[in-house]
Amino acid sequence: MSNFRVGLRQSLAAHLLNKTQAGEHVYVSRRSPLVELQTYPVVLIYGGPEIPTRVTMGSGVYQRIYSVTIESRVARVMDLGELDSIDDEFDLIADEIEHEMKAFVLPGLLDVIYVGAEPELSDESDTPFGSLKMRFDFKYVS
Amino acid sequence: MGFNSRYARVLNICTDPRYFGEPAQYLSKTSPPEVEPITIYGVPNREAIELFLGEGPVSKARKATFGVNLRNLQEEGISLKEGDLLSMRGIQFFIKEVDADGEGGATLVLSKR
Repeated sequence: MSNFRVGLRQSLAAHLLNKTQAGEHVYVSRRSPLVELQTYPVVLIYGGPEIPTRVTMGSGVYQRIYSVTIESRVARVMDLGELDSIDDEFDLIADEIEHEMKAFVLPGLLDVIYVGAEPELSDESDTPFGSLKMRFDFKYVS
Repeated sequence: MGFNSRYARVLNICTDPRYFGEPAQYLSKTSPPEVEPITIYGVPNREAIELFLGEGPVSKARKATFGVNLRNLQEEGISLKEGDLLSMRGIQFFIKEVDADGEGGATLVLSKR
């Protein structure tokens, strides 16, 4: 693994594969081949800012906090029984992701911190559609 | 023949099942449970649209509409309202918006939920 951040995102995708409502639709990109809403839900994993703090003066070694967004895109394409709204679907997939993240380990990774989630809805299509962005901070030294 | 008459004629032709019109099953949200849906005719459309959410990729979706001859429906005693049900091409929708054109026609904007 040439770069920790690349390896982290790929490991996250592998870890979440077939573990959530999104099934195999887990992509490590902002530019994934998203098609019609019938394929939803999907999970997208992409990196955000990284904040470095120097460990010791002159060493060139930093403790880093790297933010990763795990975004779930959900569309109400079918009757999901007890799930009454798109908010219910957000909560279901958020619980699945948060549960799986508790078991996520990677060599060199010091800590995983769940920072929060932000929902966003669109009513432009005839199918209610939304996005839930969950942000996790990953602490490592490099 | 004035503009209104010409426009009414165009609407009649467009919503006629011999031309572009298709049947849809309409049911008012205030109808009692025993009431059967009414068949109305209009021009269905599900255009492809792109949804932009945040910084992620664009999602492709559909926007369903049903063009109707509002004047004719009102003469039949049918008053379309937001929240009423409309089944079109086997898919059940709610009427999200009645976008009247002021000339006797209207576009119903539909939503599955």
